[in-house]
Amino acid sequence: MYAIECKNLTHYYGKKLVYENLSFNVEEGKILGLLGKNGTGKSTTINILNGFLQPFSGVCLIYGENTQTLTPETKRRIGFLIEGHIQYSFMNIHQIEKFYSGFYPDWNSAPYWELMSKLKVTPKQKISTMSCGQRSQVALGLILAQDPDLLILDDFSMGLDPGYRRLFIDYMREYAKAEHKTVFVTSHIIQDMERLIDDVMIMDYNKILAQQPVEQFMNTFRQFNITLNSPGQEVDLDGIAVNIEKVKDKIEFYTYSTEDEVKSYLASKGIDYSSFEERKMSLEDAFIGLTRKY
Amino acid sequence: MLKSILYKEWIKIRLVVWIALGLGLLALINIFLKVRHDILFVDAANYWYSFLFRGYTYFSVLKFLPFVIGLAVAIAQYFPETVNKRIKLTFHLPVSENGILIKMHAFGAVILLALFLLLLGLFTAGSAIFFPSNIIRASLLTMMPWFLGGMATYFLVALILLEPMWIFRGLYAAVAAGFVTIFFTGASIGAFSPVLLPLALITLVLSCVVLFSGYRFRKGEM
Amino acid sequence: MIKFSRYILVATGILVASIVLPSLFWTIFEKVPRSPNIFYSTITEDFVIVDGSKKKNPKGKEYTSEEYEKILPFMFFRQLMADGTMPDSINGVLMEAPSISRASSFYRYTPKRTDSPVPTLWPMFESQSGKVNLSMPEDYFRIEKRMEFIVARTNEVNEEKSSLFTSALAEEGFSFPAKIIAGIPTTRKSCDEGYFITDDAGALFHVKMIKGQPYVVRIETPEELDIVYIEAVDIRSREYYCYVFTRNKGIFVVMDEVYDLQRLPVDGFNPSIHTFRLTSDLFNKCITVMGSNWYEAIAIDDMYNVVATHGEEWEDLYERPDGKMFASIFPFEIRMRDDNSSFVRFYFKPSPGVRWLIVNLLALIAAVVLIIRRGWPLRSNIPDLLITAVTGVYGLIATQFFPNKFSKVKPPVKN
Repeated sequence: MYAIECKNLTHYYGKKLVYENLSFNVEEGKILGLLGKNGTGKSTTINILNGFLQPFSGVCLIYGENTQTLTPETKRRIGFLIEGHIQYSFMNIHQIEKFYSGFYPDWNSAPYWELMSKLKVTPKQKISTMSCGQRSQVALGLILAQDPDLLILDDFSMGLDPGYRRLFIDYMREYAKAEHKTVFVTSHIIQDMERLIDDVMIMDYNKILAQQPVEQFMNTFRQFNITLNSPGQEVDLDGIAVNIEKVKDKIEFYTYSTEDEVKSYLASKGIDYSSFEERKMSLEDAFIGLTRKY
Repeated sequence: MLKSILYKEWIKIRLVVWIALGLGLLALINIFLKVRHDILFVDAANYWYSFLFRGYTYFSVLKFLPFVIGLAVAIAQYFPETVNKRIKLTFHLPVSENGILIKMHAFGAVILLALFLLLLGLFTAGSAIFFPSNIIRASLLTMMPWFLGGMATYFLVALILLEPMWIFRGLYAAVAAGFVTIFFTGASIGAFSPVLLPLALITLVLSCVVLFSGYRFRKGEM
Repeated sequence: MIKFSRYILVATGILVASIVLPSLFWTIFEKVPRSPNIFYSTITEDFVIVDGSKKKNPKGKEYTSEEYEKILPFMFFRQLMADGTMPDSINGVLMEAPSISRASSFYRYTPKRTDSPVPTLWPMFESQSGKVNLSMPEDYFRIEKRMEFIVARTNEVNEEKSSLFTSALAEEGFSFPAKIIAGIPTTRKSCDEGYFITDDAGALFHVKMIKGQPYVVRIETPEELDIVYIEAVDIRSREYYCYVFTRNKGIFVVMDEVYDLQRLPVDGFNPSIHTFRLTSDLFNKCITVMGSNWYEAIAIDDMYNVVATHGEEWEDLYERPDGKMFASIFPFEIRMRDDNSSFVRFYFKPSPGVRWLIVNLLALIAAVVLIIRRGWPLRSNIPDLLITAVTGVYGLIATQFFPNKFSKVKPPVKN
């Protein structure tokens, strides 16, 4: 059973293509991370999912309903964290809790107050005067109190210091797994992300570069470093590598091939190298390897 | 749910509403203290004369007050929604998007209307001390376009603020400026009476145009 | 609902554009319209037309300034007397300053008079106080269900005075409330003659106060007059009390003391659009009735007999170059104010002819091009195109200001 199904999404801004025929699903109970550099269409996808954007073609379904025309019942099952932890910052934490509780019959304020009790804020302090980290806790607390089945978190790590980011991720992971929640999260900061997500979807301009369980991706996507014997040699790695970085005689390349496959490929191309090394990568390394540095 | 919606709108506008009420009361107090003073000095008959035959409006300090109040309430209510596109939160609430916008807007309009009616009521009561019904009626007729203009300002500024694209905000503002100017064109006492009903009807239908901006926002004009 | 809200905005846009754009156009291009002044000369026994700085007779002969002053001796008698060129007598009548100035008067009626907000409270002066100067009364009257006097100082009705006047009116058969109340509500007049009032049935009354008592006269009108406006005048000759403008029978003056209604020899006068002027001197009155592009001048003697007439017609607004230009750009305009009224209204003025059709067609083509360039299907934009076809420039602007995002967009063509 899928919580989110997007089929053949195509969208343009003016004449600029964002993506074409993008399809993906999010299984219930899974945490999917949509990772990509700025401007690759993460926000576009979030906006389509929330019905704030009508794609040129294609359709997104949440719990079987077109996201352009979500019913209040379905919206009640979706928790939405806006990029930058935007909330009604003209309210204080009591007012905002009172406001939201009116919309959700199953409102459970306990986790909200638990998080709030850890913040060093005064009861009458407006959210606008809080730090970014404190605001993220307010936004998170509200979503937890709402107790939605699907959480859509848009670039939640933006502006958070490492401590708050780690706190947020660990709390979210534990909560989602314990309560069997589905989470759709986007981020352009990859650090710590492997602690949170089950599946990864890496987006580049106009296309999806990878879409698979994060464990599988980490196990199959590899980085190799070789040193050439003659720096001037023409090297053709296009057959196996998805990304190559060459500095003088040192070559870094990223591939889905195994060590054996790479070695036999190098031999078949007659490439003469002195050292050969596979580098262990974090998700962030892999992300940069896949999407290139620039 | 309605209670929650109104609660948030009230938090946004309450300060402006109290200030507006305060300003309105100050203006009224000023008007009637001045009338009392002038009547003592120039004699009531002469004071009436200047209204009847010289076109002197003792209430002209009220002219732009409804415009300012309408503008301020609209900004207080909708500007916080546009900062960081916060209206997304509102549209994400488990209610119909148009429904919630209509409720928010109706709340603002009703508060504004109540404020205006209160000020007009107090004005009428104060005028009744000094003037006969003929002068009060003519005064109210003369002020009516200003108060209608205040309502129209509220509706159009909401439209402008919720519009997601700056260029269109500018275009709407041009139309709004042209339209609102109609209400404030200088005219002799009672000169607006034939056009009050048409203007009131146009203002009434303008109450729903905020939905247009809301729709443009939801359909990704950004 | 949302589509509806867009059409409201488009309609508002058209309204604003059709007010603002024409007003801009006229500010830039409008030429001063012709507005001649016509006098009657007892000396030449002919009209004198003053058009801008030119003075001429109906045959086109131009006068110098000196000639002009000489043939209008009553208008310029102070100048002529100072110059020593004033004749001692004209038509056998001795020329003396007091009699000349007593006989001369000027009155002008514009259509605004009948279409203006009017006061509903009036001061009733004591017309025979025995004092030289008139004094402002302390109360004001209104005539609604009865005639009421309200004392300004207390803002209360003077019951005694009110019933006194109400019964005096009722005795003369006045049916309440009053329709038109006309008087001269100022102390700066030579004497007080009270008010000329029409009642609910349209009958004409003269009401004034003499030594605190009501004086009411029901004025016999010759026929069923549809009176639209009365103007009381304070002319030194005391020839008549007031002018009475009717919609059906022309213009009358109510003769002093005798209350005879003297009809002025003016036919086809429409008080809603025509201007009326009357200048009077020792021997003649010169009446000018003026429309937007014509006038009719009538000279009468002291017995109200016509002695001469003259008329002229010239290019109307839309026959002039500026008007023609307007009518070939804009299909109509809306004004909030009008020359013929003090009221604010939506004055809708369609442009004559069909020359604006070309601009409307161009606007329509522009709208089609814009729609196609955005990749919108024409079909779902038919209402916009219709609006543009009918309202031209205004519709084009309004539909672009409030764009139609309801039509499904075609993806751009890939290069």
